[in-house]
Amino acid sequence: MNIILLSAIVMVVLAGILGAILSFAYSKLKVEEDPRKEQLLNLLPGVNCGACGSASCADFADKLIKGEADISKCRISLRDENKVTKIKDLLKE
Amino acid sequence: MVKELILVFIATVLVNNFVLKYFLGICPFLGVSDKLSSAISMGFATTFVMTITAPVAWLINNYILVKFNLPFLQYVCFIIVIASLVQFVEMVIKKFFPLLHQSMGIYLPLITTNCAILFMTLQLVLKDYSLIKSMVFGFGAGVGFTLAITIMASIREELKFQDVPESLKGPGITLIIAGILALIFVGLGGLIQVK
Repeated sequence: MNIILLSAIVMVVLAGILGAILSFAYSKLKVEEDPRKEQLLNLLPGVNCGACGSASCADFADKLIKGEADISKCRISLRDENKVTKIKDLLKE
Repeated sequence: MVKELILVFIATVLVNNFVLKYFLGICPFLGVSDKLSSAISMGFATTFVMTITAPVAWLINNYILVKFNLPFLQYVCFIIVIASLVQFVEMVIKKFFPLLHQSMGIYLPLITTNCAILFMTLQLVLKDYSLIKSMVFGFGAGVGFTLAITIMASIREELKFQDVPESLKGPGITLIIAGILALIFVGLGGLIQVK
């Protein structure tokens, strides 16, 4: 019984210390990301085909947000009009 | 003392190379070795994690686990130390080298499950190293990994321009090269009498 309690205490303390260090580091090293990017990634096909001229769908989403690219370049998305209008709405926000 | 440390270092890098002698850490070794630049950065990230993990694992083992007589917690403790260190490295790389973060992709968090690191921590407990020795051991293990993955990546970059038989393209020829490299490293076995 004693050894179980002891190991539980050791693990909790260790995990707590490491967790505290990590959360402190996270608050210092956080990278700001546009919340729209994740929504865009869900709407894009996600196959990283490269037909739009970007290396990956994530790359293309970045360019869309910055306004450097147009959704019409993504050939796979063009097949689904609902998705295209959704993406355009998202980008207008 | 210094001579002993150098011996430990050389033994870990060349004679007991983790990748090519024990066949540990094969996942990143085969997965990230198709481009030299990302292979080298993968090696650096792993070396960094190993060098920090070794003393931390030593401290936890000697001052907590041995003291309270809980040796069965070794695996769990070492794994959470490795996992949180990898998280930290990922944060730093994402913040300061976003392009590198993209090219390493899934293999960066996978350092956590790199068996070479867990093996290294368990070995330094088994071999009963001192704090400085275990640090050198961890650093050497990382350098050995970097060496192996760099050699592999440079061969694979050259291989893109070679005429490989159709059936061996891709993983086949890569595994054959890994085998030949392992054979070469067996030849280094007589370099140092490892205890």
